[in-house]
Amino acid sequence: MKPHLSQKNVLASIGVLLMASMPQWTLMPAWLTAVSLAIIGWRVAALRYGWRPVPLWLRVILAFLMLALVVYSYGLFWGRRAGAAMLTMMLSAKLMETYRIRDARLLVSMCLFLAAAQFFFFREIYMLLYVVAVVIGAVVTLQWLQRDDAEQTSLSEPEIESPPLSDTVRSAIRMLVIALPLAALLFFLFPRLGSPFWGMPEDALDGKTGLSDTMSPGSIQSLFLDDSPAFRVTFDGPLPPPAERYWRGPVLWGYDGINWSPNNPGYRTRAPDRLPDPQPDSYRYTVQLEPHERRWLFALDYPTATPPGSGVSSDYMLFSYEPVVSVKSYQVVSEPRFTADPEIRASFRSLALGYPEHLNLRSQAWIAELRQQYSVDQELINAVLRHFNESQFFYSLTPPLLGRNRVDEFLFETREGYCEHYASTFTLLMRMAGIPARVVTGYQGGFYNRNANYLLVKQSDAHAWSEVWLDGLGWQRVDPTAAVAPQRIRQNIADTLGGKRTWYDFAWVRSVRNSIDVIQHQWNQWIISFDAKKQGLLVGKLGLPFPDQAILVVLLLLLGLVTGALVRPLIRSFNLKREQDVALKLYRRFRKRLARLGVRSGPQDTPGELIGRAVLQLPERTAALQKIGDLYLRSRYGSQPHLLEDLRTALNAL
Amino acid sequence: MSSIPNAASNAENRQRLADAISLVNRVVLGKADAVELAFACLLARGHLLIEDIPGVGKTTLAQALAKSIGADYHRIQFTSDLLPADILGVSVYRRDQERFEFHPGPIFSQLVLADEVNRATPKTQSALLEAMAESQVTIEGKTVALPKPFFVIATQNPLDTIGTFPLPDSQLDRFLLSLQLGYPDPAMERELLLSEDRQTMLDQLQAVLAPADIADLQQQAGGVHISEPLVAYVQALLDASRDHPDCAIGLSPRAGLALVRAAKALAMIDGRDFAIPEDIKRLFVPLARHRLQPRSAATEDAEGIARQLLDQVAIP
Repeated sequence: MKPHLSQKNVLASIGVLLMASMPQWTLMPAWLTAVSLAIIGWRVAALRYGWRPVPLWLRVILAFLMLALVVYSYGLFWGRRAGAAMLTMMLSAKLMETYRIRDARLLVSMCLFLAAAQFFFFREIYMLLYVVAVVIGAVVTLQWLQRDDAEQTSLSEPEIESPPLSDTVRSAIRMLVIALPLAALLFFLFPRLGSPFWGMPEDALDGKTGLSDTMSPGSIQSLFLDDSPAFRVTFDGPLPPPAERYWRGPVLWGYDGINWSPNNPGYRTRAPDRLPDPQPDSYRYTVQLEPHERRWLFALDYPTATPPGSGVSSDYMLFSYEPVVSVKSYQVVSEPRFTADPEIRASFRSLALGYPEHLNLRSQAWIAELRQQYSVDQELINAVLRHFNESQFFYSLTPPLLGRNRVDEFLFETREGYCEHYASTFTLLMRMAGIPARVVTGYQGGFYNRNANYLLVKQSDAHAWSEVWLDGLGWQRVDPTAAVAPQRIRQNIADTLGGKRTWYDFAWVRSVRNSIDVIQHQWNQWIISFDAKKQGLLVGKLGLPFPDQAILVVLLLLLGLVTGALVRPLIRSFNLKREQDVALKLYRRFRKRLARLGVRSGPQDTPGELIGRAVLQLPERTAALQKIGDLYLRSRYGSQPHLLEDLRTALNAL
Repeated sequence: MSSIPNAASNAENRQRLADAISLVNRVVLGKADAVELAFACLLARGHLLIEDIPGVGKTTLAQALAKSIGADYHRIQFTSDLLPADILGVSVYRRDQERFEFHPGPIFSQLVLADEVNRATPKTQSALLEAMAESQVTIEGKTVALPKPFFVIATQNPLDTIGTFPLPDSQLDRFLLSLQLGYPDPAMERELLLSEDRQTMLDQLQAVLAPADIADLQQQAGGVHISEPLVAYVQALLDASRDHPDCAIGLSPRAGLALVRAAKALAMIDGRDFAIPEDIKRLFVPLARHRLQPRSAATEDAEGIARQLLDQVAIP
């Protein structure tokens, strides 16, 4: 008798699956979620109305269809997202064949894996709480399954009552707490690799959060509503004043009439000729960057050296050699008093002067007129900024949409916009006036947490500004937004607008959020960003030798082999039992066949007696019968399971 | 002691075992099954009880077995006036040395044939049975170990014969197997009548095994594989014996252990390194016959019960 899976346990397993896969639904394409939910719904209905199980051939076809759907959604080169989606889909599919305790146990155990996989995508502390809840649910379900199994397979009378839910939950929590020290030990001391073995295909990444490396209409706007942290900075020494907190991100050179794009998408340009030398009063700080799955790092102007594993582009942006897929911590020393590129190369100069000449003719005429008034570059810049400040320009997050001649429309008609509009317009005006200019994107400002002494920079602090190249002075930062809304630079975006961005956007909510961000900061610092490097430091402090990565790989493989060797006998004894079952099944078939041929036998007859009787009735088959008897005895009683195939063949031959 | 088994000598010993069995079969005609079971009993470190009427070859079997394994051998004829000291030995006062000297009795040999064991009084029987159980004897406060291997073959006449004392029930358990030889079948009997004198044949019989080889074979038998379903079968048989309506007392766990041990030895004699259901089935009646106690004389006798059990219990 196979132990039977009770209704309650099917529902509990489905519950665990739902809880474990729910975070995935927000990440997967909607149709994948729909398919997954459809299967779960079918299983619940099948339970309710007693529908028959899906036949094997249909299950196989459905599984392949789901695989195809995932490939269609994510392409052939899979990263974490596609892998997690596949896991979610296949676990839903597993429900189609969850009719035994063993299946349910497998399903729930895999849900634990799926729950842990959420940490690939969500690093917030509330997700930890959620995953803990899923794990407790899973352990409770596993206990129920175990109980069911024991009651049905043991020969003794079942216990009269099952313990109340609260007891089961308590024992689940107790078990998890007991396991916690071991988990902590493994977390800190189990050897970590600097990067995964298999590498991380860049196609698999899909920077869905934070800045992008192009600026198209609305691209920054979408970030203004996002209060999630972009990075946190701890300063050694004084903080720069708010107006100096420009965190440089991608620098944009090319403009096609709508979109801005970088000069060097692959970061293959050479580094600048020189970087500033650090001074005693340079800003020294550590950035703890939330993963954004791109390669750029943020720093104040101008970094004096590159942190390990990173480089600096010709436009002074720090970038990592690997995409930032987990919380990354790096130290920078920035020296703001530096003349960046006092001389400009001809190719860069022509890039920094390019604009579509057939567009925005009105603006071109306007700036040409202004240019005649102010022949000195600096004076012209001031005049344009003054124009932004004194004419009726407004700072707004919901500006009217712009058409083909965007600069003309903005400058003379709508006069409403945010940093993107001002930076873009100003840069183009400079280019029209013959002053090399470019757009810089990044973040501006940040919330300083006095108690925990760190600066929190959120996605909503995203910003864009301009840089112009002046002879002898090099690249100079000009922020036209500051001319329109100076408070944007001094305070932050939410306070600038006065009104609320969303219905729940209260000042006190923001301040509470800023305060409890300390917990997340500590969590990131001690847990999330605990990587191979930090482990090396910890192990070193404990006085243990820390092997280098190549040796580590070999050690891990050896560890795997040793574990395998230890586990193998267990698996073998388990398999042996199953194979004995197979032998028994074959033997029963053999007896049935002989019974049809007139050789009667009872369960108390030994194989030898049966064969003896069969030989008497079927003397012409003597050799075959004796061979079957011999193979059966050897495979079932002699622990020689490899003979099972021979036995099957011999039986079929009969 | 050849305690380190090696493959070559293992195989060699098993071959010699087969030779010994065929030698004994040549002397004891038509009893191949009983001979194999007797060897199985020996290799399972058990003792053997042969229960039958006089003249069917009990003594011949015991003697042939002893000869073939080269064991030193004593026969004790049990009679109603036999005393424990006649078996164990006595201490005699040596006046010249002014001290007692122990004269070991016939039990100090590797193979003891206790003939007609149920003709002696229970007191004397107990002396033998205790020696069998403990492989040592205690005489006048001194404990003396018996030689190794130590193997007792006891014969007894059917219990209802006049002038017998039945063996105490509790001590019958000391015997691993009890065999019944029965009359030979007609063809064998004719051959027996024609062939030469048994005693001459026994005298000419050469030992093919040494006592050390027996120790090695005993060890090898212990290593024979017994699979899980077979253990389940043994357990089911034990269980069934305890539930049988005609049975006053079922089989003990010790009986189960003995069955497993004997099955391993029998498997080795048969040239296998794993036991199979046939082994259990062949051994079960000789093993259970003297252990099962029928509820009353009117119901089925022990052998009948054992056969019923075999017919009831399915082989897993």
